[in-house]
Amino acid sequence: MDFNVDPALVSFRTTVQDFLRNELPRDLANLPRSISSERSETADWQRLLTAHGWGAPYWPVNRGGTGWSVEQQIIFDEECAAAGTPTLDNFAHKLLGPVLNHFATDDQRAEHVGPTLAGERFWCQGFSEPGSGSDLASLRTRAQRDGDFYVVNGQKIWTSYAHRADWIFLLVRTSQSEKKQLGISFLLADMKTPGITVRPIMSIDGRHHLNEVFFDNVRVPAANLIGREGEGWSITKYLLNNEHASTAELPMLQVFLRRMQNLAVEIQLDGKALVEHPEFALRLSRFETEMKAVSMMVQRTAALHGQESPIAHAMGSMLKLRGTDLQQRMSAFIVEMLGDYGAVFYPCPHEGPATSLPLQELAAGAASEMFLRRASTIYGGTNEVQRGIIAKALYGF
Amino acid sequence: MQFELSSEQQLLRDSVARFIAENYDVTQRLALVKADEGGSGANWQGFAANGWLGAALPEQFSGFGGSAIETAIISQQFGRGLVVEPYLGCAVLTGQTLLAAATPSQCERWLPGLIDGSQRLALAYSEPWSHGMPEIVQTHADHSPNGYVLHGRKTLVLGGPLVDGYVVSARLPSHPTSRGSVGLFLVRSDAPGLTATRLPLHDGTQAAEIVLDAVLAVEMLGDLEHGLPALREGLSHAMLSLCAELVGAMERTLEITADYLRNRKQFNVQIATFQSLQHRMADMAAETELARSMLFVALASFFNECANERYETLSSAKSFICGVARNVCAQGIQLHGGIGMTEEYSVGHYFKRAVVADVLLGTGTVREMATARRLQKRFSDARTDSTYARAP
Repeated sequence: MDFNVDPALVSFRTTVQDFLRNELPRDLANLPRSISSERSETADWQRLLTAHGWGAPYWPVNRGGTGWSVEQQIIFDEECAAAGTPTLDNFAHKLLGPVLNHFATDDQRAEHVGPTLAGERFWCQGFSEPGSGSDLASLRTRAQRDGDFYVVNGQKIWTSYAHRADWIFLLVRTSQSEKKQLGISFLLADMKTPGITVRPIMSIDGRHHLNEVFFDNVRVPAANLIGREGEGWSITKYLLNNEHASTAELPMLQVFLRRMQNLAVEIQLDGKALVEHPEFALRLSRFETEMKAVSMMVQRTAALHGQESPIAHAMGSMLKLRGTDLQQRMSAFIVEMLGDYGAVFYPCPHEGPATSLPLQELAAGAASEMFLRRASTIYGGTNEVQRGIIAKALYGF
Repeated sequence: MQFELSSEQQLLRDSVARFIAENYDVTQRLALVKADEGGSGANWQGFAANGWLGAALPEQFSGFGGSAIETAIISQQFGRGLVVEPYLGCAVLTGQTLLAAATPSQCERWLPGLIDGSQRLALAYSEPWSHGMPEIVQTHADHSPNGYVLHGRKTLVLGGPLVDGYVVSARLPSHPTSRGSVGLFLVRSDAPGLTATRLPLHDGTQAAEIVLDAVLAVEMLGDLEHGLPALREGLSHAMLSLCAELVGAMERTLEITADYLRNRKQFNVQIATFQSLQHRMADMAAETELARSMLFVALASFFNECANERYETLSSAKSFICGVARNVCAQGIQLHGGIGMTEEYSVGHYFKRAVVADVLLGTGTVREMATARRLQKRFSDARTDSTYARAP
């Protein structure tokens, strides 16, 4: 056990800060956004990073990445959030990327990595189906082999950003085997392929990021199969296993805390800033404390990455429980801090005509974020599923 | 940062764990609690012989030169065993306060006896209505031709009254140059004018309430300027020890409860097969790991923060971990059902320790109030600074 801060990480943080200070254009910083930035903003940011040699911050060097350690990746994400950069296409970077790096052929990588890191190819994830949520392995979208093609029929749902994605990575059933996990395969499909229809789903945060995606006799080249036929489930487990330290979405929590600290000074109650009222100061200081604990838990989860032990298996799930709970409570408190204006519906900047309501600048997006955070305990494996994983990993229940 | 124990640290952990396994099963512990003597003298000598009392004290004063990490390792195992001897009060709180306050020659005078177990000292800083906050001091010291004379009342003195002496905080209202400063004074427990009343605590540990009626102090430790900072530094170490103890207590609660769920049958099945109980265990485990993460934040502050920052970090860690521990240990009782309520069964005692811990060293809410006030000050300072920066 050693708690001295690694000087190499300190200087890495400085390097990232310097880069952001010098290279992030003002018109790309601190733009309003939902889960993800607008496509054009993300594309600009991706190109800028690629030009700097940081186009794939989470990938190993031999796959064209930076080769940063998990600790360095966390620092990069933190500093990007602090500087208000656009988001990256995380479906490409954090989900598909590791799969391509580990399971794809050289030809497949050659086809996709270049356009993706050039900000020209955006991805979405086709996993959930109307009848397959937590029980993902029960999925029914079929892919039947027909010569050099798979013919895909079925429906995906809750597909974030399908409406602006160029490609989709999806799980399909290629055979009916006794064990439902064994008949699943991992396919890549061009969203422009005939037979693919995207239908929007508006969510309670007032924004459009979710979609249904329908597949009607969609002919996908067999060359787009990742790994072997029937290997889709183990690829999926590998993909989800990569996500442990990010489940708390720490950079987002840090943005929440900064917003809270700002509102504590800007919002008045009875002639005094909120922070001057002891009750609000107490709530704020509790959040600050909890943030310290969650940040350290992220570090610990990162340090356990790749280890085989009960705690290593359970840690990402435990972090998700505590992190998402904190997301929901923080985003709700931000709305509470707005006083009466917490009840006002401020339309999202990118959804419909611009409005100018009282307190717009401070309040816009806060309630929408709060409503959106109800999804945090659902996506990425519901918190109930996580509890099951924890109880099994730690106690064998 | 490196979260795994080094091989030396593992050796320390294992030797404390072995001691607990051999000397602290439920029956042995219950006997110690019933004897009402604040634990066993033999155990205390064992702690001394193993070097645990001076683990985090400097070698020049017969200590073993370790750091807060060693304190945390020992405390965590003690928390698992619910040790009743006053390691927290006498070894950590008093030892570290003394070290922070005293001159080198005073350290040479007092620390070796504390470390080898031949002399027990307790820290008397809290007062009936100070709720464990060190700045609130009504006890006063007057200068007399023979030395300092103390008047006042101290409470929740951990480890008392079975000690050889007390380190007492007192203000010097009549001191010509340091009016109102807090000094730390060494007082013998048999000094005329000192009366001590034993306070049994819920968790089987003991404390004392002492009344000082014109008690002549042996000496003042260090000087007046460092009394309060030394007290805070001692409290930082003690809060760390308490946090580590509670993490150990939660670990053990989880283990005991998981075993019980595996063995207990109702409706002809193991109750561990019920999803509501599995999910509650998962939540308890997640909260415990968050608390352990906070313990690491607290530990890191001993290496990366100045004393004032460290005291703030430890204060918030203490209230946070105590809150988590109360909840996790209470759920341990709930998952057991009726058996969890019995005095003979261990799980309820972990809850009692968590409840007492929440009171010790500044009660949960009072510590949080202090943290919130410091946050207000930080915000108002920042605003003043930025106003200043904007001025032409």
